[in-house]
Amino acid sequence: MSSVESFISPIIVGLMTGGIYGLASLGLNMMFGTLRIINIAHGAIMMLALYFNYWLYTLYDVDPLIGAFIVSLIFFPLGIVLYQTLISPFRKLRPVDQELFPVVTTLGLSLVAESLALTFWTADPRMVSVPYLQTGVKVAFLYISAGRLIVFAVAITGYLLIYLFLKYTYTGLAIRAFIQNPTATALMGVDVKKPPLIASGIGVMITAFGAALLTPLISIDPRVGGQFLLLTFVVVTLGGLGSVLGAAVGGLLIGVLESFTVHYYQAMAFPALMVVIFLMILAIRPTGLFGRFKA
Amino acid sequence: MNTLRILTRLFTIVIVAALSISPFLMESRVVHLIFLCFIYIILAQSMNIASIAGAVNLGVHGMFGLGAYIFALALPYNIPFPISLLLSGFGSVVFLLPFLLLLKLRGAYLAIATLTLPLLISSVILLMPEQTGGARGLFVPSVPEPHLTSYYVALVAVLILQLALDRLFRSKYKYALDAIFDDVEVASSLGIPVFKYRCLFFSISVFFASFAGGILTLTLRYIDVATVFNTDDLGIATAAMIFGGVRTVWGPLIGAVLFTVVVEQLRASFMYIHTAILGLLMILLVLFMRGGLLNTISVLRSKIKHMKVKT
Repeated sequence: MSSVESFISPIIVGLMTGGIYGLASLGLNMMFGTLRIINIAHGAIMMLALYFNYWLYTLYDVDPLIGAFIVSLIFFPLGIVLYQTLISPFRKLRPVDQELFPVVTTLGLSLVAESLALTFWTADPRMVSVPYLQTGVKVAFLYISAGRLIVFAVAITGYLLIYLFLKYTYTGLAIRAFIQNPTATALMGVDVKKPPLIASGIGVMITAFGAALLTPLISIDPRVGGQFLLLTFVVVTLGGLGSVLGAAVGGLLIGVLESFTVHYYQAMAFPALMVVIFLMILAIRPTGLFGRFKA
Repeated sequence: MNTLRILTRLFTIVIVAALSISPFLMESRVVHLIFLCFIYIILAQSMNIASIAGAVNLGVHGMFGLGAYIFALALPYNIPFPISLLLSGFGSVVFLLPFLLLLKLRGAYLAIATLTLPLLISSVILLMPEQTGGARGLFVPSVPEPHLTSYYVALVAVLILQLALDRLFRSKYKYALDAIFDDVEVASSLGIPVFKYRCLFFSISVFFASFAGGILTLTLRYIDVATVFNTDDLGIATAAMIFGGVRTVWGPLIGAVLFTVVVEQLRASFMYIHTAILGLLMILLVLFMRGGLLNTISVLRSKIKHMKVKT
């Protein structure tokens, strides 16, 4: 392997990992990036979606890629219920409390979900093995599994779709307006009850969709969501809250950072390095890489 | 009103006196429960202190762990334990000094930045196995009468916290802090040094969270990253603070006592699903006691007053 190749290969591997992180943060981009809900239950929702897809595969022999669509349909109403019960009661409070209170309710939800999963499904890790997703595809000079390539492509498409939705549809416009100023939005004649509900529904739906797509790639256990939780928050915040492009770039950046750390130093240093770089970026740009609005 | 204050003072003195002799009168199980209450009171108040200045500190469990590690690392050098305890508090403040810059951040950015601190601290500890034991953990040298000593240190820390907060809430600084909490822009335009206040209060918050870590380590033989950096602690402290009432003097204390007792009871009686019940309890209590226990009481009281005025 030439020196150029040995430099480029961690980049490609990192971009693929970044695709996974991007997919994991897709829904959080809506919940936290746009709606500003510090949704601690994000990890738990991912975990439930992973298990759902796992059971669809093992019990009914549904292909994980098709299963992801079924799972996401089930999770849409869940997002609406989540917003209505655990988040909207605090919308009238003052800004600091608006952030703090949902932390407790969503943390409570994730404790419930995790504990029940541990009780019913035990702590044993489970794997789904789909042969055609594991075949290698040659990219330049590297072999990458088909599953990872699909994840990467879906992550990019997903971000593009969210961007288009927020930018060019009426509901998207209403959601963005609601976040900037609910009162002014209501004065413009927009029904301010609906936009956050829909956004939350979509947020949870794509969280579930993204997680379900990861089923063939990672091992599933009740604590799997916790591994992704902080990382996804870093990805979304790094890019700038409300910036879809930022979250996409953030995910890829973190992925490349991880593969470089593993390649040139040691895997254990990755979390520390990630946080340090994240905080340094925030210190220089307090609203993230692409963020424009004040939090 | 004056007699009421005297009565509350008397009541407080009686409670403190009872707490200070209870280790000799009660079973060790109960004493340990009270000790745990103290620890969670300090943690909840630590979060409360940060939020008084309008800054959310979601990294208390990281500071707690850092304090525990500093304490355990300082003891073998023949540093007397009271100094090691202070070192665990001040050391954390010094370590986290560069991160005070983050207090310039607003809202959700600040919340997430503080949430990442525990991960940073714990992974740095894991990266230095020669100094910190890494994933193997650390053995803690024992001090004479660890349980009794830690109990009294924690009691004194809680007393100091409560008295200081009580003083603060009666002082003129409370107005400046309220202004910061209500609107940062307006406050700074009025000449209130927002950043200075936040730095000061965040440092105090860090100090007490780490100090609590040090106190708990007094009673332990062995610590590792998984036990002292526990997200559950963050959850219990946050829920306790909110349930009791954020930015009140006594709310976090009451909330912490309640949550500690409930959590320990649940842990004892339900092996596997105690976290599920705790989670459900968190949701329900925060949903239905939105303004905190103390605020709910004061709202009720003012309603009763209004009724009296009307009739």
